[in-house]
Amino acid sequence: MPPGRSVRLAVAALLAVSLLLSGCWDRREPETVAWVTALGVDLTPRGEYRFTFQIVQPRGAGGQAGQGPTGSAAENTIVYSVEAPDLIAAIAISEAFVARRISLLHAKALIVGEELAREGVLPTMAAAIRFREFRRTMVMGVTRGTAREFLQKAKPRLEADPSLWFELMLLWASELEQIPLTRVHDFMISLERPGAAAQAVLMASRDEQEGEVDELSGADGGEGDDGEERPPSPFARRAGDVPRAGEVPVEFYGSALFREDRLVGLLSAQDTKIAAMLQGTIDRAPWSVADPLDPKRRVTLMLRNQRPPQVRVTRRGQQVTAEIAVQMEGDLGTAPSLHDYTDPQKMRRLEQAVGQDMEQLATALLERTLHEWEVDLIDLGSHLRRQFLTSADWRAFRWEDRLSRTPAKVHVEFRVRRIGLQVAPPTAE
Amino acid sequence: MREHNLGVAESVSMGVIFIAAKIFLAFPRTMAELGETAAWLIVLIACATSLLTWWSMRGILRHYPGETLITATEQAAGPVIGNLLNLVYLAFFFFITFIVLRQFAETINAAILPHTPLPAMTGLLLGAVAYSAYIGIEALTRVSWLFGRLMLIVITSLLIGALATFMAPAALAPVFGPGLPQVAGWGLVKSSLLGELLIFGLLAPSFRRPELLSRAVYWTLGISGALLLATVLAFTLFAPFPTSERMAFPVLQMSRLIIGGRWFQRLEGLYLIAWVICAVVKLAVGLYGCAAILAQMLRVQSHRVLIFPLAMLAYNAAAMPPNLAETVRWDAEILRNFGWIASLAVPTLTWLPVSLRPQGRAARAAR
Repeated sequence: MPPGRSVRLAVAALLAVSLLLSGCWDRREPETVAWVTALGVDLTPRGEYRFTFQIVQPRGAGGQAGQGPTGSAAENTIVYSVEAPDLIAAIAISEAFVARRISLLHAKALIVGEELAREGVLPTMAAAIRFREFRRTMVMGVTRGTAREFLQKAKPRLEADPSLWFELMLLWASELEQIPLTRVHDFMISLERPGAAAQAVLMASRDEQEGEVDELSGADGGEGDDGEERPPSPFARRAGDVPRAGEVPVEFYGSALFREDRLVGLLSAQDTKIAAMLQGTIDRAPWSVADPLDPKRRVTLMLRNQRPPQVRVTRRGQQVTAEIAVQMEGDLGTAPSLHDYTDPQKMRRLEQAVGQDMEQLATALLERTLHEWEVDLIDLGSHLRRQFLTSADWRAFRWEDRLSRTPAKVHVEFRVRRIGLQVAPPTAE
Repeated sequence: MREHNLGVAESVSMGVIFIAAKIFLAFPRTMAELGETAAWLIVLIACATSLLTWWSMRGILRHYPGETLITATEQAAGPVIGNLLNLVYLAFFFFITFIVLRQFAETINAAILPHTPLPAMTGLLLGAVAYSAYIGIEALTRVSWLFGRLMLIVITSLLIGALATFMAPAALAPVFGPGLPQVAGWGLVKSSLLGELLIFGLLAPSFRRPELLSRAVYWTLGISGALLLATVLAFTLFAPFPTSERMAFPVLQMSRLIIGGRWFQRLEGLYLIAWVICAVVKLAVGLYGCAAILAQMLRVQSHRVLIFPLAMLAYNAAAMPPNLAETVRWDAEILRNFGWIASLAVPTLTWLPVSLRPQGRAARAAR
């Protein structure tokens, strides 16, 4: 029986579809692509940009055929740099010596060197966000020193997958509120809003050292925010100053603040937590406070914002004032002084000490950011903007010029909610 | 022309896709450019004024039961003026077809398949579109019913996903953006945002009863208006002004930024499927609209003979704008600034004199 019309049509359709299934102009086999995990940008002495690419070393490369690299990211990544006026040119130049096609589609972080950050990042960012492979989900970081040095040293031993390493480092550190998990999208929004502070993750590389912690730089040379009489908070340090030894010689600790597109200040992990508290984003972050019953020791607690901060921004004529009321709660962690903070009176004293500590630090942080650096770190502008009916009125008010004349008061209340798995501390008596 | 009867649900799906598929293009950004923080107000006003389009259309169709908007306009205004007015409708549908064809092709080219030649992209898209339009409106409404729900799920999940990742609640302040008079003015000028509603005028005889047509139009207006409004609101919250006016592909960017933990990222590929389906349906309905208007003006029995010539014309017209920026400008500054002439002025100017005339026997019988 001769084939019917429907059969002929089906055969014709299959033939037509087979033409489409053979691939298209944009076909890229994964083994022909060099996947960038992190991108660094520095300023060269000649005023050009130096782009540093950290690329995943594919299985089978750099070793015997068929054998994937094992062990650590040190063996799994390739780092190289090129000088170029912008990102697309840097990628094009890379193709002169990298066999595979460079792809940023899976890049996790954009890291800017401190010098470039102080000079201004807008030209770099403007060129990057136009590029289709550049994703605004990349985490935005600033490193003390150069981005090249950071990426060269970012070879962890524990985690072999460099992409996963970046992801995990940023995720855990941000969950503890030691860094802000700022993505390029957040960063650009703040950058484009007059007066707003663009926050980025603070990173640093350090000399590779093995040995005792007290031999290391940063152990006693850290830039603590506390007074000298008491031991400084372990969080009152910035990336590069953390007293430690071993593992990867790079750190994610603290944050970098930008006014317009220029870096104006670096915050310690402690100040980063305070900023998160004022922004109302703390879910579970460790906090260290001087022991109110034994000032030579410290108490560690786990904190969270009990509710979003109550922000009241008042405008009387040209004068703006801000009042922020914060309610925090948390769990008792460790108290090496062995005082029994489950006792109601002592607990109340601890609560007051934590509240006062956070209040003082928050006041000092607002003083520094609003009056010294002239940036609106906690977005007071958004509360003020609601009081204007039109954009023209809001722009004419020039909030960014009034930051340094805006007094801000903070009141923090803290309550202990849980005491862990122990009631009274153990005694040797 | 002979068409089969259309169901309400199917027609609503088609109408919603035809109107709301523009959210995948530059529409949210062009609203942000005009309305800044109050972009959503422009959409709200445009939705409200689109009711006038429908009331005018309904007034004309009630006067000439059994006719389409095109034949009724010709009867109401006479063959010369009537056909001139119908040419305005034709120009509106043709402009939508070729400008959206170019925008969809350019969007895919610029953001997803940069190495694929634009003519290949446009040609492939147009091939599917022309075939769909050739099959007819009944098949298109059924396909729309099938994929309409997919579109709703896609848009809803996309907006929720994007807002769950990034949201600035204060982004809607100052509430009147550039000022209430400007926003209200733009709302009226942009009343053609829902002007695609005119397609129901061409399909009026295909509904079993006039009430069904009315029900379909109100549902279409409600759903597509809500989608347009929700998209603009979500985009403003996701990318506060002025960032919102600088993003070339708003909804694509929103989909690229969705992060649902380590495992749910880079979801734009999923959305792309829905976009292409919506694009094909929208363009096919647009092309069908052009062919149906022309067929009724020329008194051709079937629209089918006109599909492929019109598709070729659309292909060439789509190649006219020199680049994507210019294409978007044509859409925002020509189609949507003057679209109210077709969507509002022509139906109203036809309806007003008609409403003063006594109704004919057929109309009285129909009532």
